[in-house]
Amino acid sequence: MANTYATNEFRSGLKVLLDSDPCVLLDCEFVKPGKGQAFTRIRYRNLKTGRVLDKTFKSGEKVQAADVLDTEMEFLYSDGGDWHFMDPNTYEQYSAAKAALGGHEKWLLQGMTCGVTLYNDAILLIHPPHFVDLKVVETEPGIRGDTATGGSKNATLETGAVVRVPLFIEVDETLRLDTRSGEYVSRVKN
Amino acid sequence: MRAFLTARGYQEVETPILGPHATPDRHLDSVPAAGGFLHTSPEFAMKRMLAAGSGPIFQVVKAFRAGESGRHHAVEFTIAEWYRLGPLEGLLREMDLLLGDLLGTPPAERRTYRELFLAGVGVDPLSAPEERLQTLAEAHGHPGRPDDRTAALDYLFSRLVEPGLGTRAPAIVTRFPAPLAALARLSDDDSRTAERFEVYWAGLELANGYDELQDPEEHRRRFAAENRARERAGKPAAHPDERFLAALEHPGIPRCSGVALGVDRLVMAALGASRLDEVVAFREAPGN
Repeated sequence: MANTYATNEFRSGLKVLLDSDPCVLLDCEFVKPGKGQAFTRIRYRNLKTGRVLDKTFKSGEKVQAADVLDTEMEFLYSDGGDWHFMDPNTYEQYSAAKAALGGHEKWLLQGMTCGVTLYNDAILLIHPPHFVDLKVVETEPGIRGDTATGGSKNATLETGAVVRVPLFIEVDETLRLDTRSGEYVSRVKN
Repeated sequence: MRAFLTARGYQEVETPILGPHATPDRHLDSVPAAGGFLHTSPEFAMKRMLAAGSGPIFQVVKAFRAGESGRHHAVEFTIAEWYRLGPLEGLLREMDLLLGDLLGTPPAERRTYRELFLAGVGVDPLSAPEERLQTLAEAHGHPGRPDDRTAALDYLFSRLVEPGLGTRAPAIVTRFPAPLAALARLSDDDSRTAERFEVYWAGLELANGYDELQDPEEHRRRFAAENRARERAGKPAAHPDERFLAALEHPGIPRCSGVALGVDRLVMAALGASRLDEVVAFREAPGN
């Protein structure tokens, strides 16, 4: 194990251990002032905390590779404490604690395929699809024909998520939602 | 550039790219080739020509520096290097005219290293204790403690001073601290500074030049210091170029000033490019 990368192998997307946390390199730059020593400056995201940080290395320094794998899994169910996923190729099941969901649990529907970041073969992060289609289970009655005023109201979706939707949306309609912004995109014809 | 220099009495020359010696510079690594090394700049060969009485000379040539690859660096790059007789002032004026000619820049602003460092870092680069500079460098993100004064100065300057240089007009930084003299002579009126300069424009370090050191013994001392630093860093020492040292002793190089300019970066500045890749068609060398 203990794979390492030297600074001249740095490139964006590389997964490495920094401050003993798995991190992904976002940007690396070779800098060499005047006739001085060479450095490699990186910007990276700590995959555990999500924080973006900068760090400078002397050229030639090495860092340990992080055993991080991006893959896809099917969401099975939540027992309230943990969220359970299955690798569709091996049928192996993985469970994720709430921290790994990062607030995205409200978009997850049984059978949905999600992006999963594994670290040391355990779930580190869950990435829901950018767009999900979910059914409305509760909202005030729609105002038919009112497609122009741009007013909005709350709607509760089958996963429990509450989103702002246009006034004409009815219960039982299926909506397309952008999970990155949390916003309504359109109606989906059944 | 050729027209500019030729019109001012410089003669274009060629010197070998492949030679027997690696550079002793502590922060440069020569690329080995055919039992010898590719040059990191044509400096020593051109100075031997000056010693032989060439008068003002220039050349535009490829140079090679192992391990330097990035947005503003390539292992193989093009250098323009020229030397004129006499002290630095004439060369600095010419440099300003050349930039105006090629890039349409306003007249360059000259600043001493010390005044820029005082303004950007807040301590005096000539008199601050080494420990203070090392601690400051660490506080500003230097990985570990810098080895010595030169490492701390280089880092702090690059971090806190360089980003603001050469925005409105090209910046010519003069009178570098003596420990960063490289092969520049020390200032006549202050032995704490050296007659080295650098030119910055459009976020790029474009050129580095000296009022050239003439004393052969001082050359030997500086090469030895570079080699000690190389050994501390676990790099192979470089044998001094004895032909160059012999030329310094006899007949000796005349009082002259020289500068090396990165041609690829000059093209970047002319075109407003932000990466070398935008102006260099081929980046295929290993490690590039």
